Amino acid sequence: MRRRKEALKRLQSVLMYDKIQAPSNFCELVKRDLYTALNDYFDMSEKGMDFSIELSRDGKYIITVSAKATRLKNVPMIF
Amino acid sequence: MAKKLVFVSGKGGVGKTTVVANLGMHLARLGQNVVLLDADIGLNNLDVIMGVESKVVYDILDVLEGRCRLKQALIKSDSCDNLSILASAHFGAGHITAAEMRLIVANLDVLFDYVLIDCPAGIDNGFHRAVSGASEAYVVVNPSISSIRDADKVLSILNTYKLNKMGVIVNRVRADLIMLNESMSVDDITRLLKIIPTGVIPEDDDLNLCSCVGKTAESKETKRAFEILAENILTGSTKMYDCLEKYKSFFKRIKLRKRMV
Ligand SMILES: Nc1ncnc2c1ncn2[C@@H]1O[C@H](COP(=O)(O)OP(=O)(O)OP(=O)(O)O)[C@@H](O)[C@H]1O
Ligand SMILES: [Mg+2]
Repeated sequence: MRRRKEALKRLQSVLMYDKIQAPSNFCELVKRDLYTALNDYFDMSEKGMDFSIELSRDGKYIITVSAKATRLKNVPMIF
Repeated sequence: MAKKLVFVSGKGGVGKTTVVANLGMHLARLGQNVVLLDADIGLNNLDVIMGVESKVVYDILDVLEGRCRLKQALIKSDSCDNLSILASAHFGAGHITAAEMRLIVANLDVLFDYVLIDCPAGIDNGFHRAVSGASEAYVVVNPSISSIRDADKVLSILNTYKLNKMGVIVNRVRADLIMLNESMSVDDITRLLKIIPTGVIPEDDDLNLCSCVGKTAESKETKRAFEILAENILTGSTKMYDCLEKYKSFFKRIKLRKRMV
């Protein structure tokens, strides 16, 4: 893989933290908790999930979560 | 009434002065009456890049302190009749207020079609002074992580000013590196900054040399890029200079790959 992708990923993260002004491990913490929560209901795909926060013009946080699951967990297993 | 465009960046050395000089020249060639205002007080360079440093008799501070009239301080470019420059002072950054800068811009407003303001690097007083007189702002950005990060911050700050328009000019684009996936593309930068670029200028060693001898760009490609930028500014179009064009043929791509191996 060429360096463009790596640079893009870093920049995305840097710009996000600049905007939301949160500690640098903030997203990792939220992502980990969300993953654990989703994993109770789905078999999560190996690729994991994407999580981002943006600040809208009116000062609200826009939270985007995108995750892939291979299947739903059995209902009896959940309840 | 003139359009008053300020060129900012946050990060220094990304090419604001170079863009102001070359864009000014192209707007003038399109028949516009243009003045370039060097608002980089103390670190003035626009006069040398335009090759008029030996013609500077009065500068912006002389106008403000009443040693000359505004028209006396305007220097005509050697290569274009309808292009003028108002030089910055060698010192006195602390003496010139934003209100005074607005006064200068308001006086230039009635004499010209375009006032292009060259802003200093940074986001402190000098930035505020330069932006406060403008009606449109353009952020000059390079395809580097620090430049894009600063541009993003500057765009947020610009949102707090009353501006009719904001844009981004991507300067020093290396098409060869984009082709090899070793540099961020113009599209990448656009997506990150969430703004459609008004101009794309390629990396050009010759442009640097031209600036050193007080001339604007001479290479065909860079001239074309500035022509498109000037057209976009003038008409509001969003045409993009395609820096990848020259690598689009199959053989040229092969050649490039061989060169990089
Ligand atoms: N497209 C380009 N290709 C090659 N060199 C360039 C290009 N644009 C600018 N440069 C060079 O980069 C250097 C910095 O340019 P310039 O002085 O215009 O930047 P600046 O943003 O005005 O700097 P400052 O923040 O100090 O005012 C100069 O040597 C200039 O010739
Ligand atoms: Mg400069």
